[in-house]
Amino acid sequence: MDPDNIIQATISKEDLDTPNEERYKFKASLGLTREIVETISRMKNEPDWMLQKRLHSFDVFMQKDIPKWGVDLSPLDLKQIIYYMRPDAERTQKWENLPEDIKKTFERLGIPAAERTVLGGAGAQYESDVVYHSLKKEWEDKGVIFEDCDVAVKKYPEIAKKYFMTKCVPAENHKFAALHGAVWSGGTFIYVPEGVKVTMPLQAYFRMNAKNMGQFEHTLIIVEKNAEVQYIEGCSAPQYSVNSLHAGCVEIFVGEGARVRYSSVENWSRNTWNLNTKRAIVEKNATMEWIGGNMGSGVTMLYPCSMLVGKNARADHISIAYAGKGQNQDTGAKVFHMAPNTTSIIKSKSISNEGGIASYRGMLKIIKGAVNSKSMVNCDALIMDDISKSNTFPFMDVKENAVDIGHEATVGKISDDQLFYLMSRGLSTEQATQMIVSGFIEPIVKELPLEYAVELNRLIQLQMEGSVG
Amino acid sequence: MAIRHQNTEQDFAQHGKTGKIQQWLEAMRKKAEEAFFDQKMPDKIHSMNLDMVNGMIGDGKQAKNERDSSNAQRMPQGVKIISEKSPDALARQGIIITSLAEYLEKNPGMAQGRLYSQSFTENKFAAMNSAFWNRGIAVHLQKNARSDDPIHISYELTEKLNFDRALIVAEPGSKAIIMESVHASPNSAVGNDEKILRSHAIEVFAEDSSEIFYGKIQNMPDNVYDISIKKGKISSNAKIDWMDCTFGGRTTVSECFTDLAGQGAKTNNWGLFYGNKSQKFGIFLRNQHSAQDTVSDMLTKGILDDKANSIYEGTVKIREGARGSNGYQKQDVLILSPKAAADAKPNLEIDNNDVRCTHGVTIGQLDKEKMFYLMSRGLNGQQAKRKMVEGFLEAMLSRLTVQRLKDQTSQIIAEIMENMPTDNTKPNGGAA
Repeated sequence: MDPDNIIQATISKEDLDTPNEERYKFKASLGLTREIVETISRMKNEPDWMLQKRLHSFDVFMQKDIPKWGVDLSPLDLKQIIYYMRPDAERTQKWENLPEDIKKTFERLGIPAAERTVLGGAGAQYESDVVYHSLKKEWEDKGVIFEDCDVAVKKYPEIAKKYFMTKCVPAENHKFAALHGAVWSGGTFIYVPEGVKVTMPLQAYFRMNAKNMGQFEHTLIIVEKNAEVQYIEGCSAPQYSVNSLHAGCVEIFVGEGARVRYSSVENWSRNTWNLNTKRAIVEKNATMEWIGGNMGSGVTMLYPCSMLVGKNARADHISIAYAGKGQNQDTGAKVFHMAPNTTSIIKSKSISNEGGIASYRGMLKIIKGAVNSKSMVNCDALIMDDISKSNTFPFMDVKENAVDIGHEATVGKISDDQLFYLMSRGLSTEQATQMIVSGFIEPIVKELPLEYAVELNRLIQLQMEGSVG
Repeated sequence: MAIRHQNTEQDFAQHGKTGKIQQWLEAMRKKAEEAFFDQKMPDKIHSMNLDMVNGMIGDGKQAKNERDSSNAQRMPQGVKIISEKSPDALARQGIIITSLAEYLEKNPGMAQGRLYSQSFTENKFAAMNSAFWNRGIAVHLQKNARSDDPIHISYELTEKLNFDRALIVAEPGSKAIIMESVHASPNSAVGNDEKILRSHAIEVFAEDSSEIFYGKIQNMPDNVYDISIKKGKISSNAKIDWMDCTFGGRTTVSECFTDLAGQGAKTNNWGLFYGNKSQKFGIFLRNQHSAQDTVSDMLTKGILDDKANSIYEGTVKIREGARGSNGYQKQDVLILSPKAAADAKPNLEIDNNDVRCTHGVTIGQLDKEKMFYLMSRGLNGQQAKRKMVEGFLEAMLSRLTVQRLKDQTSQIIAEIMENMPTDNTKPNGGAA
């Protein structure tokens, strides 16, 4: 079956927004205490070093203040969140073994379908634990590991100790990184040995089902010298009237000459606080590509970060954000040029509609000695009506003179001429508007794998339905 | 509203009923003084090491003494008005230039509604000027008074602490070109190595269909800390052009806020800085579109040599009702030396969809290939570098339509380049 059709047929806004019956084995009480952190660790049967790490993160979390910049986070009540919940399904390798309703959810999301067609392996996270994970044998034989992060910590302690929240995203980074370190659960672990090029994309899907739930998945990707991998993530949560929190963390180590492409489409429900930390360390001659779509959440604060630490390292950040009614999408990119001849390209597009706020917030730092660094930042924003807002806050800090930095941004509305032209060809206002919006995001959508491109387009159409004319 | 031309000594003396306005002014200054001592240094200038300002002012006694002894003066000491026409001839044309103290006494109603209305205690430096200004100038353009001859206000720094303030009111249909220059004469108390503070605040009111050009050239010695605040409010179809050419000073903070308050208002905000040694520049610009069909253009060009560094923060804000507005923002920085550094933060805040807003930033070095081309044509490194710098600045110099400003600027640039260190002439980088 054509993946295009599968996804068109399976995804609708209702599917994503409708909760299933809550099925869980254990549900922590509201708020966060040291005991909860200890309980999580005990229930997961974790080694002691991980418990110590969690407790350390908890201490940092208690000390740090909520960030004062960007979106106002004061309405977020950290005491009203459930920090851990274990679904009523054991971890499995086989699709058939999953409980019916969980299976149905993922089926609607098109996960097994996607796996059957092109994807190398798929992991799905439901509430806090990974319930389904698989990797095609061919890659397993080459030493590629694609595993639930909980399992990986126990199975590969040496790698985990070395990379897990150490130099990429330490708990000290900020309050939500610390929170994540204390209560993280599930997520994905990928290890690609030297020289192995995984030609099929690996995929995971995260979903929150219970209300006022926190989702704290940890993604750790280690790609050795001259290896390659593509990883795709999708996220959703059903609509509840109580706020949910998503504070995930992604750490990526791109070895010398390696290449990693990380794509994500985040479509959390509108009452989710999406405070995510994503960071990659990029070595010599390596390339890191971030591709992101932010459609959902009430508030998103997400700024994927690339640390270009080796000569000739390169980072591409491509992102799109859609801010509809009541949404505040505060997204952007951070790039640190820390070695000579490093390159970064940032392309960001945003659409704000029905009173939504879309902001690009960027940070570009070029340290002394990073000679011949090049950076180009490009932000385009489309504002659909006169109650919506669009902001651009780029920040450039350049401590080296032998560099070439450029930044451009445009903000505007759909031009009446374009609308008129399309409508004169027989399209309705709504169709014409959708066509122009599709054209606006085209350069970004075309970077995504097919099914995600289709999903993204469909999501934007869903978001805009009934909002025009 | 219109003020009449009455500026003989006798008239001045007759306006003795100044009690009320004096009381108001004193109350405002007191409030501002409290705010100054209460407020912290703004975070955004954190890296500019301006805490020394606190030390220079201390308990504020000296600043207050200077202020109180100068209040009654007609034209403040050290301030000169240079113009083709005599002050009387200008006044006959409807262009009145007086000390701010005199303006307050003669036009209390007009002054009270305007002075401090745009800049009062919004940050520590604004509060400092509001509290301590002792040399004030007022320029008042009566209805339809128009002049294309530049009015040049020349400030000489005579003290260790210098607090200048200006109020510019352009009545409907009027037009003027105003130039400010600041210098320190080598014979004055300022001529040595002591730290000198110069604080300046201006408020400009461009009423319907008026036009104000305000240009500033600053080429002060290395021991001067220059902190200036410019505020403009533009009514319907009126226009303010700001032009800031900064070359000298140890540390320069230049803040400019323009409110496009009436339909069809326009502003151009152009700036140029060229720094070497350990100079620091902080440029903070904000254009706020509050009404329909307003247009703003922000262009800053900077060159940094030696160990100079700059912080730039530009914001274009388009408010909800400001349909049909157009905002443009661009900053280019050329870094000539490995020890120079630049920060840039060009922001857009758009609350409306019927707009066109673009911005751009470039930070970079001299293009090696172009240098090579010029040198292959027989220019030496120094000459080639100069040509490139001239080319970089051309877009700005071509905007300088006021000849005197252009001449002076070109001359200063030529002087700086004359003294450019020769070891610096090769394009940097190349190592990998």
